[in-house]
Amino acid sequence: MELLPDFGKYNFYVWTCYGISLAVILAFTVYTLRQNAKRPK
Amino acid sequence: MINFLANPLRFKKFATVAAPLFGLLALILISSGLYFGLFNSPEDQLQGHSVRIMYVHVPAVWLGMAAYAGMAVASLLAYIWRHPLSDELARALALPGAAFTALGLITGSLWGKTSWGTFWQWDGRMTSTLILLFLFIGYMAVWASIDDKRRAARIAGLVAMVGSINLPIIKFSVDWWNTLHQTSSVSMPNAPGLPGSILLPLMLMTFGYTFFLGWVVLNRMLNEIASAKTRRKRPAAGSISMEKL
Amino acid sequence: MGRLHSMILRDIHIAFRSGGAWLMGLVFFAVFLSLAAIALGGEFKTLRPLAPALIWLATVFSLLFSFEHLFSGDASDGSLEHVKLSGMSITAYVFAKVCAHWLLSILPLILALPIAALLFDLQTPILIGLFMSMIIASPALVCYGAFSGACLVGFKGGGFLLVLLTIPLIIPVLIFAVSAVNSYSDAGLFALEFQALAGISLIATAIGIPAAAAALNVMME
Repeated sequence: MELLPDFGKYNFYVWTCYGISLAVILAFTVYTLRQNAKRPK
Repeated sequence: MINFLANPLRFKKFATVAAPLFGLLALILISSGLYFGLFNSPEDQLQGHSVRIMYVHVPAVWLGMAAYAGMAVASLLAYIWRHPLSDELARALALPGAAFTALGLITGSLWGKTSWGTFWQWDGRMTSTLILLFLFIGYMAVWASIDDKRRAARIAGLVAMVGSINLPIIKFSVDWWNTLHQTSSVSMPNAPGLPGSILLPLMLMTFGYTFFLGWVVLNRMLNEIASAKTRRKRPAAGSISMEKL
Repeated sequence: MGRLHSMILRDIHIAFRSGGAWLMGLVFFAVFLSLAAIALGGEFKTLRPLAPALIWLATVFSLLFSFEHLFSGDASDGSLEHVKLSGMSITAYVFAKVCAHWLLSILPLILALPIAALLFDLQTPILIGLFMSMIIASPALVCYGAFSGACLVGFKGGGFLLVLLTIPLIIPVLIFAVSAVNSYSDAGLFALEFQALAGISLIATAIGIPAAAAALNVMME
């Protein structure tokens, strides 16, 4: 079983959507964690 | 509860506990949402696998709208009670809200390519979401452009409130305008008719995004409160402080 | 009433003394329409159906440039504080400014509509539709513009932020105004579009003027 399923005709679109969504979420996660680390106590 | 949290110290205690909790919930819900959305749900009869895009598109749009609503309410509370914490809440919601809205537009565009054949369509939903993005950008620009941050907060609050009153008008006018052209919306299966296997990933992702927004916003507020405190303790070098006078 | 009157007259006098600067809106209106006609090929066949939209676009754009200076003059030379000290409510002041602005910016455009109709070879019903839509929609335009102008008083960074703030508020006006022009021929003033425009203008006046006053008060704190 391959790791990432193939969704046929619209495979590119589905994966791009998920990729961009996850990228945005990860970006905000990293940003938040870095700001937290810089937070003066 | 609003009165309870209005006290900055109590808010800080609440947020310090709630934020990691929200983060954890977000992680769990989004992960399971992704699992079900990508690996454990059926394809749609008409749309095939492209219906999976709905699981990231719809929550993004909803959260964008919810963030704006939160911004408007927070601005109203800040305006009536002059509470700086409420201003901070509104400000904290802006960037994530805009990001979710933009994400909604991008995923909507890609979904549209699969159902309409084009990357864009001037339909009611896409047009309204685009206008919402403009509203967010305008709000953030006001904060950035006015140097006195207390003034910026009040003006931005007014912008958010006037914008939110206009939202139903905008929605009404865009929907009406759209019916003139009969363009097809991105085909979202009707809510009452959604089978459980499709509803599950949708709900998981929606709640996951909600807690994620909560995590980001609470942390933004905590960081802003903390850095505001240090700014007050350390006046800018070279400036005359009242004590010296 | 007397104070409002003198406020409005004062603004008009200042505008006339500025040596034609107040006419810039009208000039832009004419330039935009001419360029549009030229760019689209100049054939009445193409231009006629697009005319209401183009004329309304010209109106919106020419107004957008005028909002920046609505309050900045009074704010920078201290007149705004004088108004507040004199006991006149800022809301009344905003109302007076909006009236003056309407007279100086909207009225010339309304009077220019017959010429615009000529440029696009429009029939009389369309021209009347244009008049009516402009009259009914203009309160919304000037009130929302006053609000954004008030928010950004003293902001030197360029007018585009003002445009960005005003646009979402103006879009419903634009939508209904353009189709109202065409609907006039069928349903007269009873068309849904005119009712919507009237409603939007009422809401805009009720919200925009107090909100603008609130913004000016914030700026003066």
